[in-house]
Amino acid sequence: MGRFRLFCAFLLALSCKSDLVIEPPATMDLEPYILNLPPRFPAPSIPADNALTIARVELGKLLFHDTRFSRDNTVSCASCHLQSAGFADNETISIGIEGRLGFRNATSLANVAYQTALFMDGGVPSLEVQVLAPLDDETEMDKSIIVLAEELKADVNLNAKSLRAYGREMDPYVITRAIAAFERTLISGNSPYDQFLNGDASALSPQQQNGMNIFFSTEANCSGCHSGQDLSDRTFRNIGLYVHYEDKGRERVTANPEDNGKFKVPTLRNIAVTGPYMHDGSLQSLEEVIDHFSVGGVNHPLQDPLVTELNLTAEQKADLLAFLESLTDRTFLENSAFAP
Amino acid sequence: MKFVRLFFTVALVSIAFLGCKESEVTEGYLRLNTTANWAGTPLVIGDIYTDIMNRPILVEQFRTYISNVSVMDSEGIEHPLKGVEQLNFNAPWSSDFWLPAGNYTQLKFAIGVPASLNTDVDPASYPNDNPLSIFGAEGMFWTWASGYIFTKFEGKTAFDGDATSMTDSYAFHVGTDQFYQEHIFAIDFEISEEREELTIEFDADQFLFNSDDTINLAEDNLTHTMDNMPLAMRFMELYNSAIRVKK
Repeated sequence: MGRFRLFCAFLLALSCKSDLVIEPPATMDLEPYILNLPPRFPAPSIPADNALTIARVELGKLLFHDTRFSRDNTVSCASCHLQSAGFADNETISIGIEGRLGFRNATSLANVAYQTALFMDGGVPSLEVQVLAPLDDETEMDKSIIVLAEELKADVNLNAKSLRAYGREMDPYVITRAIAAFERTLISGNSPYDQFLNGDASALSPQQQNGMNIFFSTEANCSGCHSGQDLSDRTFRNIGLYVHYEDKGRERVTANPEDNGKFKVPTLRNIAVTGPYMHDGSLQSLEEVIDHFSVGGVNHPLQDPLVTELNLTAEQKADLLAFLESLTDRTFLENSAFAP
Repeated sequence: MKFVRLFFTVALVSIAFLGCKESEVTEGYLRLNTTANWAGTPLVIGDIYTDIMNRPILVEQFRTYISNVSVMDSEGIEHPLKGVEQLNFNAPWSSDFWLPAGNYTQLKFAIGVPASLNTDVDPASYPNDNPLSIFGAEGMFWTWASGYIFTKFEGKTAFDGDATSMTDSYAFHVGTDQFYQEHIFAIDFEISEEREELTIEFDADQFLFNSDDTINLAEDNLTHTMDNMPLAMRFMELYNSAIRVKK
């Protein structure tokens, strides 16, 4: 009888142990991450299942810089989104594994928390889902997120952070959410232009102020598209860069011929450090960009009516350039909280 | 003696009556099978077939989503069977469903994923065993445009017809809400104590030709839907016409 009791106790112990393996062994760390929002910046919309916590943002930062995200362990998110380049890069076309070229210039992640349609063609609805795209793209990371999740789960330290941040082991759910959480903290709003708007009249030089006046004038009307907190109205427009677009732009995701050559109006924040420019990096400098708009594009049939011939003088162009340079937020580019 | 005979008669009738009541069938099950064929023989992924233009066709993948699967009984009541399932013809899907006993007149399903589940969705939010999850939908979700590939039919061929060097590719990846297509098949069957079986058949050889259209793979061999909408439309027209239901 005694042996039987002992056997039962052993079985019970085994079953308890098995339950322990299934239960999340760590308690979640839910200490909230408080976004340091600049004046005039509203709180971004954050999904209910991915509220910002310190643990999630820290995990996301680690993953953002982790080269295991690529098949040959050479490319991380940070490879094409460098802090020094405003979380864009300075390549014409971003370079993926084995030197493979994608087909577009990298976009800046500054203030991406406010974006509602990701990528230049707006095909992806959330930062969480966006994480899947570069992994899946054979010219970028070319790695299955299922394989990646298994590798990261085997990393004891990282898996512990996953449990602490999300109460579950490392899996695609955690990977997509953690990176999105980190990206939502990439807030840029302390450029000289911002300081000027916040009341520091000396933040912009006279030339930069002249450029600002041209930018917002009804004649140049750059602000017809580049408006709002991020100097982008986030619409999709054909700016007459080509007569025939190899990259169909938004048409790629809508299949609507009316969307041919339309790309999302980019933010101008930190624009001076994110060159080359345009969806394909075909314009090497801001001077070339200003020249393009001064000429008024190439008259594509779907060209936006706001892109018209401006005939800017050399002085006006120089003023505009000076204003665009005032949009560089050094505190953002050098914030150690974003660094690995 | 008379009393005894009467007693046994009443007892026997009662037992028979009770027995009948106990064995009355109130439900049974329907086995729903799926199969793909090429010219009447079961399609084997990895095997080589010949198309109407005498080209060799190696089928490497044939996967499709079906959704909102239901049957209609003879009183017009619809019985839902399945929300969304991904059919991968590496291992054709089959499943059993309990249904109330009676006569049925219709099988209904759709090819594709309903719009409410197709866009603005996050595959990572589903549990792993869900066909729409990262695991369940691997290779069947467009990460750059956020939506599911409803049907994927792809493999190798030889444009010149030389089966010894099949280096040319074909790939039909079709999705987006406009290609969600409902199918309703009138078919009489009975659910009783005997298991009933229905089979959804996909005639893969007819994905490329029928009496109305022929896809010449040497000219039209690639669509990811948005990049080649005309071919996606032609393919799905053929595809939807190549689906049948049999008992």
